[in-house]
Amino acid sequence: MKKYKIAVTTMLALFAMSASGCLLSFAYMSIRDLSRQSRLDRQASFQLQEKEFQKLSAEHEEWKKLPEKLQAFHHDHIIGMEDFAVFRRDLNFCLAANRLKATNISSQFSRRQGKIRKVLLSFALEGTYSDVKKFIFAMEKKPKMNFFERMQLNGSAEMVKGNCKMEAYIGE
Amino acid sequence: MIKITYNLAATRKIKGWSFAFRAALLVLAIAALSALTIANLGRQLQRNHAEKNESGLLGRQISEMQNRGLLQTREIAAWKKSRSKELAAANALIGRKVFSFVARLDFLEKISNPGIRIRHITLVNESAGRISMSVSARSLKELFALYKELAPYELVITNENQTNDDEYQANLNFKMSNEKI
Repeated sequence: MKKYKIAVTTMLALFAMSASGCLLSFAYMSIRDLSRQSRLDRQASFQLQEKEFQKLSAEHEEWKKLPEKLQAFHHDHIIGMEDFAVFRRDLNFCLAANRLKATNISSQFSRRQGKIRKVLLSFALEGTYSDVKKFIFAMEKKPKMNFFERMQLNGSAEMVKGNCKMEAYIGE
Repeated sequence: MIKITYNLAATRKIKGWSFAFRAALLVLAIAALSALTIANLGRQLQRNHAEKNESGLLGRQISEMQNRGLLQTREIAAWKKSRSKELAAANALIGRKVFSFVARLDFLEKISNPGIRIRHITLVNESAGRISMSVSARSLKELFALYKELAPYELVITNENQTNDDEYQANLNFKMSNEKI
C-alpha cells in the first residue's frame, strides 16, 4: 500500500512540475513575442535610416559627377575661343538670311571670370516684324551660350527698328 | 450479542489493472507536457538565436551606414564649398539662355487685338522679365481689354493720353517671368 502511495505522489509531483513547466514555457514565449515588437520597431527605424542613406548616396553621386557634367556643359555650350569667329559669321549669316539690315555691330570683351569670358555684342537692326522675330528665334535656338540681353524695338509703318544687345560666353 | 467491527481501510484492496491504467495515463500526460515544454523552449531558442544573428547584422549594417553617411556628408560639404560657385554660374547662364524673347512676343501678339499697335517695346533678359512698352489704341475699350489681359502680370500704367487723332496712347510695363509663359 505504501508503495502505491509513493508512486502516486511521485507521479502527481512530476505531473505538476511538467504542467507548470509547460505553462512557464508558454509565458516565456508570450513575453518574447512582446519584445519582438521592439525588434520590429528597430527594423523600421533601420529601414528609415537606409532610405535616408540612399538619398544621401544619390546626392553624393550627383556631386561626384558634377565636375564631369560641368565639363560637358562647357564643352557643349560655351563657345570656344577658336569658334568665336564662327559665331560672328553665324550672326551675320542669320541677319542676312532674314533680310535684316544690321549696323554698328560691336563686340566688347570683358574680363575673364574663371574659365569664361563674356562678350557683349550690340547692334542696330531694321526689317519687318516677322523677319526680326524669325531672326530672334534663329538665334535663341542655337545651343551655344549666346542670348539676347536686351532688345528695344520701335515700330513705324511696316518696318521695325531695333537695338539689340547680346551676350556670348567664350571659354579658354 | 457480540458486535463485530471490521477495519476496512486497513485491508483496502487496490485493483492492479485499474491502477496501472491510471498511472499510464498520468505518465503519458507528463510525457506530453514535457515534450510540449521542450518543443516550446527549443523553438524559442532557435528564434532567439536567429534574432541575435539578425540584430547583430542590423547593428553592423547601421554602424557601417552611419560611417559611410558621415564620410559622404563631409565630402558633399567640401564639394559644395569648392564647386558651388561654378555651379551657380552655370545655372545662372542656363537660366538666362532659356529666357525667350520670342515667347514674349508671341504672348503680346495673342493678347493684342487688331485695334492695338505696339509702337515701342523694351525687353530685358532678367529673372523678373520686365517688359516696357508704348501702345496706341483706336478706342478706350480696346486699350482696357489689353490692360485686362496684362493685369495678372503686375501691370503698371505709367501714363495714358488721348491724341488729337482720337487715338489713345499709353506707356506701361509688366513682369513676365519664365514660369508664367
